[in-house]
Amino acid sequence: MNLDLRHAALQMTRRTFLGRTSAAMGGLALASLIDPKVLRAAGGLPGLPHAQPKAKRVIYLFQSGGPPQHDTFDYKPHLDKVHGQETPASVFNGQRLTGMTAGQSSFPVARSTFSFKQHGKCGAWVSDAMPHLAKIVDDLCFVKSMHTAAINHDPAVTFAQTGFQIAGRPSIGAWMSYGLGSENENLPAFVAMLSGTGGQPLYDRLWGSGFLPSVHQGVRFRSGKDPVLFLNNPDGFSASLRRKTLDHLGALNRLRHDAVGDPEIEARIAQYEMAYRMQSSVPDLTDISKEPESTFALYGEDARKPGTYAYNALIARRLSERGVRFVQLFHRDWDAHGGLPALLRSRCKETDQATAGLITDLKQRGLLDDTLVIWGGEFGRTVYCQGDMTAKSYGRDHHPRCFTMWMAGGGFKPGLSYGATDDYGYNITENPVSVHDLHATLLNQLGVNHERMTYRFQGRDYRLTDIEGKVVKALLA
Amino acid sequence: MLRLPVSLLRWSVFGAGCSLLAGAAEPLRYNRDIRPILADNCFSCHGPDKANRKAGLRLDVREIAIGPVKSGLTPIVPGKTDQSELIARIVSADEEEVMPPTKSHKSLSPEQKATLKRWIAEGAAYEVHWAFASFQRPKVSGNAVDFLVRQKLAGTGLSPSAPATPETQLRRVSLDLTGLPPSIEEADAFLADVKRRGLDAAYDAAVDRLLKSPRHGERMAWPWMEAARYADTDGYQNDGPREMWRWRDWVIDAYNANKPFDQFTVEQLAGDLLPKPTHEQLIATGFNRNNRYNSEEGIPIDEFLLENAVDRVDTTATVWMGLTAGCARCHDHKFDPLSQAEYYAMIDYFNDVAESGRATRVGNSEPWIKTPTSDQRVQLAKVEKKVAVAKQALEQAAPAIAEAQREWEKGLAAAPAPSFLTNGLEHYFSFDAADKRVTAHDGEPVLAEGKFGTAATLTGAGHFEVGKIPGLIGNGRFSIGFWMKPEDVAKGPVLSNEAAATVRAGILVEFIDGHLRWNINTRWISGVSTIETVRTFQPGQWVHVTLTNDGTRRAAGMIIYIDGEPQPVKVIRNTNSNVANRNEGAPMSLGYSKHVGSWKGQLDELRFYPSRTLARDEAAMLAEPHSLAALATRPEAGRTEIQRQLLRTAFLENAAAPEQKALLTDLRKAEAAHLAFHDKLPTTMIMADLPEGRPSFIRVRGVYDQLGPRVQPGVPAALPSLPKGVKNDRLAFARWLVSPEHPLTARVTVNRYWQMLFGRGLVKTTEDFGSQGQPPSHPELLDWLAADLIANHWDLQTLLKVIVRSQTYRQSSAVLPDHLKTDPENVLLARAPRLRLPGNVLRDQALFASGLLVEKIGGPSVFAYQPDRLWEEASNAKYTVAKGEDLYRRSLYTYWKRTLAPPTMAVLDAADRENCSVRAKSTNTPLQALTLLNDVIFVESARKLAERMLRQGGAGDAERITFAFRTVATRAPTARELGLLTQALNDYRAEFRDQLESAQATQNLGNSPAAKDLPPLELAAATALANVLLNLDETTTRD
Repeated sequence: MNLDLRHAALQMTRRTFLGRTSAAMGGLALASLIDPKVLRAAGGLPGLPHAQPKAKRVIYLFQSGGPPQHDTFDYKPHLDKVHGQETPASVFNGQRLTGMTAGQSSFPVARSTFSFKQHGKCGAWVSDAMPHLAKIVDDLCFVKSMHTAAINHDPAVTFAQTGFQIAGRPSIGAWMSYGLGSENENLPAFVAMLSGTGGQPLYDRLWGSGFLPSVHQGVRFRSGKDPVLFLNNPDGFSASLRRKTLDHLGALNRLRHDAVGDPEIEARIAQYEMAYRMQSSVPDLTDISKEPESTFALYGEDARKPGTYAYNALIARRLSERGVRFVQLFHRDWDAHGGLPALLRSRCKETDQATAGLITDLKQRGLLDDTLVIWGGEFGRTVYCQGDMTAKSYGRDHHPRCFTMWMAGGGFKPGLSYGATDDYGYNITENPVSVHDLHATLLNQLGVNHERMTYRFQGRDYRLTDIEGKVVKALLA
Repeated sequence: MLRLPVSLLRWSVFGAGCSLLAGAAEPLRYNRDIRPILADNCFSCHGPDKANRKAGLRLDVREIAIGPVKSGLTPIVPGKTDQSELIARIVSADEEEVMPPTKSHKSLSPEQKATLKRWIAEGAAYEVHWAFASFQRPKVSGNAVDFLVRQKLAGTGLSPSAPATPETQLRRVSLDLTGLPPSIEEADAFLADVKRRGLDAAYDAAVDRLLKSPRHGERMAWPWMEAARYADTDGYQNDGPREMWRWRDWVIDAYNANKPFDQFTVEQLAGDLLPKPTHEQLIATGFNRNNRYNSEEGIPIDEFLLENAVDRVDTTATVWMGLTAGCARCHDHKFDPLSQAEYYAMIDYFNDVAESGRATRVGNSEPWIKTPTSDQRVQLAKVEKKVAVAKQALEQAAPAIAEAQREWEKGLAAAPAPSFLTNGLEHYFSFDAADKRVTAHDGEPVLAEGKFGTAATLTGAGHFEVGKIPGLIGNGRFSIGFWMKPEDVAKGPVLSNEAAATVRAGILVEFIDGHLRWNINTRWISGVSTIETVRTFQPGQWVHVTLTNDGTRRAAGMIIYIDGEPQPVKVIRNTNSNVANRNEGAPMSLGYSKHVGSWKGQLDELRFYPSRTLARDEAAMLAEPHSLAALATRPEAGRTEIQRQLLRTAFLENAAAPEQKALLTDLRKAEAAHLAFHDKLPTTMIMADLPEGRPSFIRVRGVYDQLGPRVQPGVPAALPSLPKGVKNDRLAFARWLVSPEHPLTARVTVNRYWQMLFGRGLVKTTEDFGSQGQPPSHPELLDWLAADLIANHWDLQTLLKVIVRSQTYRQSSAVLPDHLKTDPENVLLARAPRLRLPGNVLRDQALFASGLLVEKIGGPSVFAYQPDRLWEEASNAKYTVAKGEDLYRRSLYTYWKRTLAPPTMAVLDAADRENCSVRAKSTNTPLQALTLLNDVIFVESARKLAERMLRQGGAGDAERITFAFRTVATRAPTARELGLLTQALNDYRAEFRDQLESAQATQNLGNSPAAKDLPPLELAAATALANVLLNLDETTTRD
């Protein structure tokens, strides 16, 4: 083998983490010697970031099912006046409804049963569903005017995660891994964690790599014995036995390499060694026994229980501390077609303190400046009631025309409330922000020009923002 | 550091579109040198897509490019670079002028500019894109693969490698053709044959043996499953189960029978349109029902009718034509000659499926058919025979029965009216007297004179309830019969047991504008089947109504009989999808539903059969308007057939002698057994079109509700046209794909099999033969193979034989320094490729080596090991790991949930089955290492391989290690390897020596029983050794 090339390949291995090496040294690596596109998969693309990044990493707190904006952040006092009345046709404006309520004979306005107050110096409205978050509103940048293209969960959540409604495209984190690589060679660039039960299911594709090389797919961290699939040795295999087997495996593979000369074999040896290192780096990451009591005061007692949202939030901070590029939490069951007040209280009980705790924790550690935290779901919910309305309860259907998300850190303007909706919280009246815009702005903060990070597949240069998206400068500090 | 040599390599060897390939003397070629530059940089705005075309300029068609555009300037003046505006613009220094525009983030390199200039100077000749041009079989001598590969290799400084060792050749071809390595016995037999007859003869014999093995069909089926996006679930949202394994088994059988690829194609794409299609040909059409289905409640139906057709066209275009047709969904294709109108013309071939747009949540969505296996057909014939025998027995007894019946009839007038049709009748309400099951609500409904005696009479003041009637569910057989005299036919619920909650689980029979409508609902509104009579009803007239459901949850499984006649109905909804519990539903209300209000009219003789589907003659008997007593007074000759049957049934049920009654009981038992067997038969979704079809429209920007002009079915103009005089339907389209003139199908097909054997296609972009794809590395070889495939009547095994018998395929895969220097990607094939085995093969191989593999072809998918709660944490589905032999089936049979794929396969680069995938992925990650080291299926395999080693491996470490090594690698270990492995085994013994508990723990890995008769320490040490062997680079690689 050309010694220079080989040296270069080995250099790359040292700089890469986990899956990246496959591209650095394997058959793919060889392919990369003539195909720059594959080469770039090694540790981010050459030339990236395009600009000085404001954020180095992202924590995306995805609330799956569609949190209700009327009952959380988008305060609409007008609803008290028109509660129970038919939603005016002028508000609908001929827009499509979902198949679930399109057949409803009546569309009565449902006011929120939650009470709203202004909080912080910025005076942001937050309902009493989220008392902890209310305390940190001065750190948050609210977008009241989010809108999406899809009206049902699967297409909408797929759109929010991949910029396209139909399965097959890479998720945000996969794009980041592809474009920017990782800062920690012993941990993946993209980690996904799931919590909650019931409601809408989640899919591999939400953290998948689509048509990008599969090394960019999010690694699902789980609670329990194996945070990463198959991390632990089989029963009866001690650490010292595993070490010995790997030594023998390495020795035999080196003999094979000497015989057949395939550099891919060296890459394989390296992967086994990295696997071995992961066996200690991951448990170190998930060992929260040394976290001080103050951590649990901040995130809540749930943070002690693996599998909860609070635990995942704490792990998210630990991952970010270790330089993991993109961490995404998915919390299920915000889909309040009926019994909204009880459902929302439960979701907030599970998430509110930990979400606020995470922001505070990052801030205290000086990490919030270059960590972008995003909170939101795939769409909003209707002003009109779905199903039975009683004095204490009501339901809301899916609503793609407006919803609220917020960002914190990462160069977003703290204390800002951007965009506005009409008195019914139904249509955007000011500064609409699309899902593509959000993606473009997110990438911008990472120093990436969303139009220039592309991947050619089936003859076309694809990007996260498809053919749209503009950076919303007004959101940026 | 690495980038400099990269660019050097790119320009010095064989980068696509590399102008340096053409020597100074050789003229530039449009396809090779020019088109890639124009396609990458110009065609988006100056290509086939007319909607986005700028300045009226088109560079993909010579006649247009050499004429003046709107501005009066001429883009290309052949031979005159200084007059060609194209050149002026690409070299312009003016930011406003330069092409491609700065904001496109595209730019031309100096080499590319020079190439374009030279091309214009040479006359700007165009060529048809290579893949659209027709092809012929180039002349070769000897094996065509070797001839053409060596032709290309000549002059590169590389030469073909020596043949691989016999062991390597056998292992390679066994893995490639059957997906499993050779056993030691097979290897020994092969080596003996080599000694006896020489390597070539022995090798050819081995190839023949492998192609005849049933494992061959299983192996070939895997990539076809990935291309066909086969899965066991629907894919969207709740991702409910479906049943398509009969189609999967059809594919295995087709490969094993070496079904010619043209038939393979026509049957899968249009088997339903063949004259008198066989059962198997219908199953074959499951190919285009493997697409994802959405059952989400809120979806607009039209959106997903379109998505279904889009997926079918995109998949079909990718698999057969290597076309990225999907690009033309929203606009004219930017690079290839496929307009948006042509795209929707192809959509029209696939847009007529009699499907509802919203899928059922659980189980197959219509259209589907029952698809018994051949074994089941034998069984079915047996149970049918039993019914026939029982019927015959009853008929033989007819004279004796008739005699007794006459006596009985004489007394009928005097006796109380006997019951009849009591088989399965669990609830019967005559409304002739007070009945504590019948309760009044919200007022005082009355019993007034009815059809027979008095009837439940709803006057609008209150309604009756008759209690819970369990079993009236979509996934159960049931029937309801009653007499009805409506007062209100405009609207109102006749019967309802809908639950009060918004999901409204239950049935509803109601009037809508004079029509009778029947819902079976498990979840409003996504889980409802609704049919409505075409006829209308008049108030004030008695009619008899029988409703029957066949338990298949389809609207087609529901029948409304009026006065014994099945009614033509309109299907309003057809998504009764959930598997409901028999206890679902509220108490049955007469004339009232919480959700739709109340109704006026009379109901009489209400019968519920909660587990039977009444037959047509039974519905007719229920509708008999005369009482049994009245019928008995008629002369026998004056009775209708139904009346005769009714009296006979009533007699047998009520008054027959025990031996005669027994004949009836026997028949019913036989019928029940037949139905029970029939109902459990597997089903398969097939292609079946609506008789009236479904119009297709261009969708503006690809959006489902933005209808453009209507289109007729048709094939793209850039490809050969359909033969004249054929009916222009999906069958014609399928036959067109495999017509010998088609320039794409054979090329794309041979390329996919080439990729299977060499890891990369002759066209690397297996999925894209368009101008944005890569040109073939060996165009003549591609054409030769394609032409040969057609000439051999699409015989795939002949194709495979030509390739695997070539020296190119059989050469050594050792990588030499020259290889890495000149051809690291191995495009020139101076060596055989070393390929990481795909996940499914790695798993199968481990099972095979351990002796755990259960070889059984076909059947329902099985639930292989997967980590606990993997589904539960992300979805509402529960995964239950199989027991026994289902754990050890080939990976082809592993249950595939689309949204949460089997983790072992997902980690090891399997396609996700969400959509069509034809390009093999191969990566190398530490997560894969963890999987192969620690996943239970691999450690259990290690444990069982260890057992084999101790039992079958002979005496002593050296022999046993050699046995295990040969089991995974086919060859024997070298002395050094043997030394290392012996040392390793001793090290592991030492590890376990004082760790009896650990040693025993290793023997409990996986579900297969531990070998109690072997020494635990030896077993544990051998298990560790086998764990190493199964992870060897050589084991996990196809050398």
